[in-house]
Amino acid sequence: MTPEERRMRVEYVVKMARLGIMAEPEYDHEEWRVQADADERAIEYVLKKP
Amino acid sequence: MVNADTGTTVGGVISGSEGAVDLRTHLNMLVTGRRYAQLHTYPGSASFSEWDVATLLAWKQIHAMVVVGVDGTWYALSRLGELIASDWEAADAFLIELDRLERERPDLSLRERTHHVWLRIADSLGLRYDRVQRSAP
Repeated sequence: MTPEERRMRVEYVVKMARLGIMAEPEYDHEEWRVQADADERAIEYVLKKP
Repeated sequence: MVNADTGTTVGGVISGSEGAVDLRTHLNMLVTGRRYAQLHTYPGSASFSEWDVATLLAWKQIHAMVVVGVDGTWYALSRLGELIASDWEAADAFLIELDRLERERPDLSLRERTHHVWLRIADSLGLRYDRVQRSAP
């Protein structure tokens, strides 16, 4: 994991943890960035998971 | 979720799907100024992840987190005092050390690797880390 990948990963994990949701993204790194910038979309993603 | 001072459970059991669990029902019930312990299971019996430590440190009411593996191993991570790392710092430190250990000890299973990561970094983050393994019969 490169420092940039780690930064994006931590950004995503912390943002979700502060929302109270643990959800492993089945995404590439670019998607993590999208998720980290959009709390509502992250929540929708979790709620729609089977 | 359990009230760490009284042992009273908070809310019901939350079931997650593979790779995802929504803790908001419990977190919305936490009372400011009280301390709680969060318990969950890990099918793979690994130790804490970056998700766990970020959640522990993101919510000040959570004083400790306990993970129970299906092999009977218990892991506990708790706050030692006021001088602890942030959720960001702890998740970052975990991933750095996990990466380092993967290079140094590729022979270790994920279970052992995560355990060794916490042995190395817990103190510096202001956390106490314990593992309790079922003794051999």
